[in-house]
Amino acid sequence: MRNITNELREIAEDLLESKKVDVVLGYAKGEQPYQSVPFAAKKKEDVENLIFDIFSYSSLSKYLLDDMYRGKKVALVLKGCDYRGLKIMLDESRVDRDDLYLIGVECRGVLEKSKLKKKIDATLFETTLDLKEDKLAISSSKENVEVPYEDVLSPYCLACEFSTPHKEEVDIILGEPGKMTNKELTTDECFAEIGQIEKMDEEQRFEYWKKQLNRCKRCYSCRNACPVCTCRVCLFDRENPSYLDSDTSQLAQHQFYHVIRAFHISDRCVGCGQCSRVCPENIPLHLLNQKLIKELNKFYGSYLPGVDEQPAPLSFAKADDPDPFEKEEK
Amino acid sequence: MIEQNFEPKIVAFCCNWCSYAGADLAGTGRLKYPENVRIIRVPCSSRVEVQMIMRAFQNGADGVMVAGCHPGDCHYDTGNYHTRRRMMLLQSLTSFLGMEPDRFIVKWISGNEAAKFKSTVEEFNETLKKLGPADKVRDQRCGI
Repeated sequence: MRNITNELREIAEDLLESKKVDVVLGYAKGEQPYQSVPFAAKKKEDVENLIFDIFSYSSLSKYLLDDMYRGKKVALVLKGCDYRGLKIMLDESRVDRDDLYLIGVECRGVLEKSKLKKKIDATLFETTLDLKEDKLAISSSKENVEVPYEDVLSPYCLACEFSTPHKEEVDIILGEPGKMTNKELTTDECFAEIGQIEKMDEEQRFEYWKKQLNRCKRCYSCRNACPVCTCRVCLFDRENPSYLDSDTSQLAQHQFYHVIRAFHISDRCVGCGQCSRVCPENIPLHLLNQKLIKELNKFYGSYLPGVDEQPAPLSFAKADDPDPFEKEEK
Repeated sequence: MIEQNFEPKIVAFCCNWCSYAGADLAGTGRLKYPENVRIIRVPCSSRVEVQMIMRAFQNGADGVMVAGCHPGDCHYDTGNYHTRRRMMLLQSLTSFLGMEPDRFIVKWISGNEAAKFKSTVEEFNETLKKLGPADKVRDQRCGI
């Protein structure tokens, strides 16, 4: 895999120097090992902090809604899933395309830190990574291991069907096309838990989700990190009616929050997996989204939000849709 | 444990143009249906948002019914098609979460189907009596 950090810095410097943009939104190295954090380069001197690596998880498009960037020219670093999120915002006229300079990057997936930790005995602080063509070499003072990418890549990336923004849709594209793993996995294989949960009986399913949802602290990280959760006033921030309060002892409130959250992004979810990744309690939230995507695809034909031009499945309805409610009466 | 003489609370969202008229007709026709159904009149069944249904469960409903015009008969042409898509998705999600999907039904009842309204409510009432109180989806602080 070619390292595109240097090219990115050159472009960013060029853009800032020529005053084409006011700010370049990208990633910088975080304090933790293998962590990349969002970073805004406003001056020429900031540019050297910019990086792009396999830990650049978060989607940056939601920063555009911030007052800070209103009316400014912004350059944005975009992976495939980030572009899909931005496309939905563009379609809804939340941001103006003319104000943006899009730097598409060839993404080959991001690494999942929890998977990486399982592969090694040493802590992440002590290890160094070497990205080889088909394997990832992890070395520390204690051990040297090589693992195939499909074992450490994020499951969302293994199921990804749109890893790189199209050339025509962005202003410039960096890197070279290709996949990190040669193994083609279907969505069902990547999210095998959905099948397992579907097979359980109702009582088991309830117990499973009770255990998961009761951990929720209602920090709303999943909502805030989601690139397509962009309502001007969020339902949960509304004061009249105020649906939820701060009490986290009630399962019903957790159910309410998670059902509504998943439902509201059901036909918009781009499958980046950021909701589960940011969850401090590791609740598998992506399973709810993926379940809804699965249902929508099953009944109303396959649809990729932010890629396909046709309208989203919940934005229209047809007379000949399957009717699950009248069946029993016939 | 199912308590003796448990009377379930049913919230029925009825579309103004069909199901509400159907319920009205049941009243004028002196058809007796279970009195534990609370009818909420909505302009169209597609007015019913997911949060309304979840809110009803949170605050003490044992069952929720959404009733609209028969497909093809909608006063606004396509409203109930939207209801159908949305409610089907909600049902599959609640069933995935193990939240007793039987407590939530969607029915198409037209303005002259008083008998269907009666039988639907009766049937639903019986189902809910068997299921017992909806403790799994209720906010325990709601005082019911």
